[in-house]
Amino acid sequence: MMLADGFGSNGAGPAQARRLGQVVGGSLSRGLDVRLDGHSASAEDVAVGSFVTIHGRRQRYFAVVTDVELRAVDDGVRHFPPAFSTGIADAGDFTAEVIAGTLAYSQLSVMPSMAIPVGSSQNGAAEQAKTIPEHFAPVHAASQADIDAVFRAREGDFALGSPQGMETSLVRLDLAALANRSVGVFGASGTGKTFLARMLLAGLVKQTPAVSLVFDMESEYGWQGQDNDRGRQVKGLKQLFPSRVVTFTLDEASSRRRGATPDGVVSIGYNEVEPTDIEVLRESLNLSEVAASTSWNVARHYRENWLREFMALSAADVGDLAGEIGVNLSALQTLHRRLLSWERFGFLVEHGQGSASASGIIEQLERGNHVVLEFGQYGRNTAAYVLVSNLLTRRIHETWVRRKESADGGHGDEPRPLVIFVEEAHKFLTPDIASQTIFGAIARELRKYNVTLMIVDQRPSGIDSEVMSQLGTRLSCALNDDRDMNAVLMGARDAGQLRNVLSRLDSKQQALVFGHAVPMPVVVRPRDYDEAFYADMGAVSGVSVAGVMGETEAERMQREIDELFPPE
Amino acid sequence: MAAVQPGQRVGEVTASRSQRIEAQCYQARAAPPLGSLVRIESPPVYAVVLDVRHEPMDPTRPLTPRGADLETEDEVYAVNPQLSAILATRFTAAILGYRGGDGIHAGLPSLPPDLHAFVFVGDDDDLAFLGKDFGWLKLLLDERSPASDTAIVNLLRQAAHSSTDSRGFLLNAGKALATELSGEPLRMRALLHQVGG
Repeated sequence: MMLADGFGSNGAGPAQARRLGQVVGGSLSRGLDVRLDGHSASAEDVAVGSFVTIHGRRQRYFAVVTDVELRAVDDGVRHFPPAFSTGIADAGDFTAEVIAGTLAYSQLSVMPSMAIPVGSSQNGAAEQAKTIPEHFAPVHAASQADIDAVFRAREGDFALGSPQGMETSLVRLDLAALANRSVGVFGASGTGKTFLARMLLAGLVKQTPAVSLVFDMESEYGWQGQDNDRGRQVKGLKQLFPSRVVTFTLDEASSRRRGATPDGVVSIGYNEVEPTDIEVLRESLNLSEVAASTSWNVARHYRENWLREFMALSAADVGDLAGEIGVNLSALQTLHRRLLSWERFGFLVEHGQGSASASGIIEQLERGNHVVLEFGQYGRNTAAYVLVSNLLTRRIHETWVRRKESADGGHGDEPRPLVIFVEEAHKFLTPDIASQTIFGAIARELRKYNVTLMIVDQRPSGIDSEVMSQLGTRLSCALNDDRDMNAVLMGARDAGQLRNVLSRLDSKQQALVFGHAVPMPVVVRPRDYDEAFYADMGAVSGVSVAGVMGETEAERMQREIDELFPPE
Repeated sequence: MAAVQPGQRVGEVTASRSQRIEAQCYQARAAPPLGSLVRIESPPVYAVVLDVRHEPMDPTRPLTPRGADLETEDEVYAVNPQLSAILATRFTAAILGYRGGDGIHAGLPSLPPDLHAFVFVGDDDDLAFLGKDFGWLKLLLDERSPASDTAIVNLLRQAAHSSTDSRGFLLNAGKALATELSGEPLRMRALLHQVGG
């Protein structure tokens, strides 16, 4: 194969790739300084986040541009710019043209991430760069062959999109590594993080033995989702993988209105709610610490069915109860008022079906099916979302812990790797409650019990720093707040340099990806979530969303049977 | 005042050192202008005119005014034909380069030109070497005088004019100039202004 000479070539030299400049300083820890050749490369040609290759004497390095800077040999250039000094347009232009690239020049900051020995074949493994090139090593724009050498295709890899400015190349994720540790998907509202997360989930379903449990707040992952920018509906996981994805709902009526037929309905018993759930909901319910903690006193007083009995009290009875159990009256009244709003939660039932609901979900997960729990109308209520996710996850996690311990003791098989998907993660994982919630525990214990998290959030600064630092792979679309950007990069290698890249992401369809699932930090334009993607996922072509929506239950079953067992 | 032409032999070396030569013109008032490139034949050396002087042939006999009763300056020479014999035009040129076995090099020759070596005004072929290696600029910039800076400007314009790519020549020369004068921004700007303007 003819290669554009560069990182992916066989080391013959950088004859064909576009030269940008040469290394003039730097270090491994803070990155390298590259002076641009004024005549052949302009600062306007090189975007932050793009890739370059550096041709050292013994290693070829692959690096990402983290900053572009205008520099001058001396302050005179800044104080007396050419046009100012002459006042004559033509003479000023000449002086400016002369000075540009000599006394005034452009400099790149690049972060060398990967290296490959000069002379190794294209298939030679690129490894983490532990050295840096010498002074004046030539720097070239990365070619497609370079990208392919670093993000080379391996079995199980998942094509997420293309690197910045290189639409024909592919960035591949190592999905096995992705599922091994918790994952964070971040981005401000409207930046495309839902599409990114949906693609990752589709990849997990298609290409890994892991199963996922998706707490689908806005009902956009299960049956179908909405592409607001293009005003169209897109396929959800159930439509893409009808035989491997099972949908549950908290709001059956909503699911049916949307044309979806859930495989099960989840209900939670009042008796299954524990005071620890109230503690987690303190922020969502706008409760003081004292008010939230009184739930423990109430539970101790009423025992098993404490919540239902407490909610059934009149205002006067609450006053009596406060005196009886010795808690602050005002705090107890506040707790009572807030919990009364739960009367509207149709999924809360007198006698617990939660165990049954959890069991149903666990059964599907153990069969190797992925589960999406749609929240319907309750997705708009943060308290409902946090309550159900926390409660079900606690039960499922308990099961996984038991199975794992049994397997470790030689009894039974290891539980399948499980990825639990939650949105609005900062509601569960704020610094003051992260240590109490099951999600905080899962994040901290890594993959000890084969359970990891995929958290999706637009305010990562609200998430406990310890949890953030445990994320193995992070994908971040554009963020607006400095604190959020700092939080995304917390604990990351080269965080200072990546900060510049993160802050320059396009407001849509661009994400910085770094961590275990990629060999080096990379700015990706995620691939389109369209028919081509559906086809790659193995979905049946020619079945439009509209057609699927309109089908009857019998038609749906027949279609799923046909997909599983194609007619001769 | 007689104009000199490219390639014309104008005088001979009367004194020489490693860095510069003194020459006397064959004809009074017929000197290559400030900033002209001159070629000295033996050994082949190139230099740029830094200083031109019209003076009495014998420095012990200063000139006296002769035109008090005349209308024009030309009449002074017309009624005093002996002046052409007692006046001399001399110039100083700084050496920029030399011809070696493998072509012309910017820099100083190992030996200065011989006395009485012929001096020619540089032609387009001679000027062409200036654009190949701007190392000669440093030799001139180190002179640090108003005359030497003016000579640089004149020489660059002359060379640009004879080049097939005048703009490209001036840009490359300007960049070399800017690099050499990075520590003297005001001088650099003045020179670039004159070269580019």
